[in-house]
This record gives sequence, C-alpha cells and structure tokens, in this order.
Amino acid sequence: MKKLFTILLFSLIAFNSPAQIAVKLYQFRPSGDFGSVMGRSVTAELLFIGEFKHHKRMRFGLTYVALHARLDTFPITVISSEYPNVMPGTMVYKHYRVLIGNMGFDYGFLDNDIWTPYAGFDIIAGATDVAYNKNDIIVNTDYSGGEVLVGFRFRAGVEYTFKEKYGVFLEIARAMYLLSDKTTLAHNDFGLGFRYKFN
Amino acid sequence: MDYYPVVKTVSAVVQQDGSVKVTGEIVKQGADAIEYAGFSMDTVSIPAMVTNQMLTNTLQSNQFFVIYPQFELNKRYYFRSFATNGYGYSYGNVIYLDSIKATPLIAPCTPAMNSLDWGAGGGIDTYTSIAAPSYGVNSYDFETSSNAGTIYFHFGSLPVTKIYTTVTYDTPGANEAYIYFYSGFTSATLNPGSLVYVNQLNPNKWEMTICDAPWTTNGATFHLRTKFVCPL
Repeated sequence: MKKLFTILLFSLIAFNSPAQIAVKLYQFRPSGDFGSVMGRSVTAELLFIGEFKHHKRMRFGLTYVALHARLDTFPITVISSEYPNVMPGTMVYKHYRVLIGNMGFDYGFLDNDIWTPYAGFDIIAGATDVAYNKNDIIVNTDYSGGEVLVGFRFRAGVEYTFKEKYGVFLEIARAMYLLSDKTTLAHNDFGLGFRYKFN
Repeated sequence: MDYYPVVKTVSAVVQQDGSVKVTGEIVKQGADAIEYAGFSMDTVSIPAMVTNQMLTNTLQSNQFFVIYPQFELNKRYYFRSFATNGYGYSYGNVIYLDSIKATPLIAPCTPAMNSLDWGAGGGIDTYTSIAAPSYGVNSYDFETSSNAGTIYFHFGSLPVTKIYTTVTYDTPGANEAYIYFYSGFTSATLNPGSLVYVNQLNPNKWEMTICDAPWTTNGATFHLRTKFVCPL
C-alpha cells in the first residue's frame, strides 16, 4: 500500500500541469463472475487531473471500496471423486475490500473551454483484501488474505467548466484486471465528479 | 440477475411394480448451463441433497425423471428436486407419497388359500405352519410345514410384490427364489423358470401363489400348485 502511494506521489510531482484536484462519487458495479458474488457499492475516487492541452490531459486517482456480497450465504456445489454424490456446500464472505490506484489520460474531443466530451484510458494497480468461510462438507475453510491486481480501464465522460476554476463531470467506465491468483475480474462504474483548479 | 437454476418437482407416480417415477422440471437454468439435476428422497419432510440421491442423465423438454425402485409399506416418503449450474445449486419443492405399494399381482391359477397340491396324486394338503421370511445366509428364508412335508423358500431379497423366478442354486438373485422340499423319503427342487407370485399385504405379511411349477424325482415330473399367506 505504501509503495503504491509513493508511486502516485512521485508521478504527481513530475506532473507539470497546474494542479487540479477532483473528487468523483461513483457506483462500483462488479460484472461477470465478480458480479455474481459482489453487489454494487458507492464509493469515491480522489483524483489529480491536469488541464487539457492539445486535447490531452493526464490524471491520477485512488479509490477504496468495501464491497458487500450479494447473498449472506452462497450455495456452492461440491463434486468429489471420492464420493458418489453431488453435495451442497456454502460460502460466506466476511469482507471484500479493494484499493485501486490508476494513472492515465483523457482525450478531449472539442476545442471548447466549457463543454468537453472526452474518452480516457487508465492503467490500474491495486490490491484486494478478502475473508471468507467455505464449507464444502468435506473441508471447512476459513480464508483471510488478498491478491495484487493489475489491469486497465476505459472511460467516456463529459465535463462542464464554469468560473474557470470549477468543473463538474459525468463519467462511465469499464475496468478489467488480473489478480495474482490468475483470476480476472471486471467492473463498470458511473459517477459524478467535481473538479477544482488551483492557481 | 438470477444466477442459480429454478427447478420444480412436478410429480411422483407409483408404477405397477411399486417403484416410483419422480419427475422434475428446469424452469430456468440460471446464468450458466445446467450441470446436474436429480432428486433426493427420505422419510423426513425436507430430504437432504445427499439422502437417497439419484441423478438424471437427460433432459427432455426441460423435464427429467428418475425411478426409485423400492419402498417400505405404510410410510410416507418425501421427494425433492435439485439442479446445479456453474454458480451453485438450488432446490425445488417437496412432494410426498403415502403407502406406496405395487399393483397387486393376479396369478393365472386360483388354488384355495393355504392349500398345497404336490401334483403327485396325493390330493390337496393344508399347511400347519408357515414362518415369516427372515435373513439367513445370502437370502431371505422361511419354511412351511404340512402333513405331507416341508417346503423351504429362499428369496434373493426381502419379498415384495413381484414375480420371482425359481432357480436351482442356493444363492438366488434379487428377483429369484430357490424352493426345495422334503416329503417322506422324497426330496426335490422346483425346476428353474417357474414363477412365484408374491403380494406383500403389509410390512409383515405376504401372499404367495405358485401355479403348476414342475419338479422332478426319479425321472418323473410332477407339478406343484399352492397358495398361502405367510406367516400362518
């Protein structure tokens, strides 16, 4: 976690544009197999965003989200070569937390100081912190641990700038990432942000 | 999104031989293809998935079935369907049946109850005692006594309403009976291939009929005919 923060800090220092800080409130929507287990959560992203220069700007962000399982208890099926039957098991998630840092850029489509539609791309890296109990009749397992994740995120958005210093933006995004245990996860998000430019 | 299958227990129908055909239906397969479908069965009201579990291999128009072969009389049996897909499993509803029994068999002959005709010209005999089947060595055994002799019955399984076929070895299979007897100085075994009609009247009472089953001694063949209730 400390290494991730340090990388982000040095990236920000190397960042030459005037400082713009933003906060985006968004709904984290796990999809695919991830979505079969975890429900949607609302969280916030802290962003450092540059100004558009020649249609491009850099951005860095950090998100923490505590997800909640869709079900209190998941019914899992257990098949074993040692037993002739199909057996019922259970899976209970105690917590599932994700910390993601991202670094990327936006490309603005209009040469316009007020309305700017844009598309963007991030490289993301982070970690999960997971705890669950899995009972498959044969073995009862309590697990607590986490995985490192890397991936990327595509986004589209539109920003409205007012009074030079302020901006509000609306974004939708799709992220896909690979965990260190070689599983892949994905999520969508959409949110509303507020940007402030320091002089 | 519904990730898990939705399954229904449609019916449980007693067949003529006393087995039960249980039918289920996949109402929705969920977010992944069905991997397993089947039933569990028990005398408790909510059968656990692994209790008397039977799986099916085929789905026909989203329906599947299994046949449970044998039940004890005078008990209520509960049946519950289940299905699994890549995400997990779900159960269907529970249905039950009472007093599952086979359609009574009608033998092709109608000897008098508790009568015994050896077929050797000695007239009709009556039984003086008939024991109930009990588990012996490799079979369910009982003996009958009459003034003319003793007949020993060995069934390959606890008798139920069914037609059994006679054999000449003393390790009969589940649908077979080994029947031999002593009468005076004569001993013989019923020839193989004869039919024994058994109706289980209650958990501890049976009616048995044998129609003209051949037995051979000293080169001569005779035909045994009998009908009785055991125990007497």
